[in-house]
Amino acid sequence: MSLKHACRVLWILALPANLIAMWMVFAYAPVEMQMGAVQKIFYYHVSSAISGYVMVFLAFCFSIAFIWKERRGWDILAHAAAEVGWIFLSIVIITGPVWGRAAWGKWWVWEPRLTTALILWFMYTAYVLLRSMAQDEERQAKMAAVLAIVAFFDVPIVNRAVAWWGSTVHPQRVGLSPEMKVTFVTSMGAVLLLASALFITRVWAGKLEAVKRDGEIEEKA
Amino acid sequence: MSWITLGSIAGQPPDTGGYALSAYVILCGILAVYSLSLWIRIRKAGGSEP
Repeated sequence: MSLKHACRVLWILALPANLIAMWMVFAYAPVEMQMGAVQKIFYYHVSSAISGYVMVFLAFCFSIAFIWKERRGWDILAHAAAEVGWIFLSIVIITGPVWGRAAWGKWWVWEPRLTTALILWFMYTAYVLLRSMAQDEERQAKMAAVLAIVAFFDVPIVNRAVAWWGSTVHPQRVGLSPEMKVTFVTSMGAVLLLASALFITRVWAGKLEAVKRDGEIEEKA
Repeated sequence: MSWITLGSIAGQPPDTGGYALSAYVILCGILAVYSLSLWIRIRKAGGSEP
């Protein structure tokens, strides 16, 4: 299957899946009584966080493969995964404070999970900025690969932060009613499909741009 | 507060729907802008739309 066809299939699955998930979030899942409707942010906030971690894990793996094999294909995959991961981490960093403001009266609290998650977001922001700078392409790709590998080690720290250091806002365990569980599982699947669709689309864009750049270099030569 | 249960309890929930809606509008906006930017990049690089 070509990238174009994979892209089409994933978008055809991802769009209705997200429409169904959104309907479930707003119409099917019950309103939580302590926080009110703002708890509905949970479904896409947590799903985006998990999708972001999956993408940065892929960026970690592809970056190791690129450093080891030095093939441009691995770099295109790593760049795509890191960029899509950064988009989902940005969603987490933005939606979290909106939830926090309504539920706890504060936009931000300097507690372990939020702090380590912000550090992770800054590292992938550095990755995206590094890739957008015009300089020696090969050197830039190697530097970015090292950054993606180092940055990934923050993911297990973010995940274990509440268990290791405690938290004033994040629970260690979350109890959900059956309707909430079904909505969360549906949202998780829909967001993972969307992340996959964005990743494959980004890989396709990266490959097309690489082919175009090579053509321009050959023309100049 | 170190432990939160999200299960429903009896009573009147606080009115925080505006925050939830704002978060979902921002989320959809980010995803729509990023998807559009990818579509433009594909077009510029000579590929047809997905």
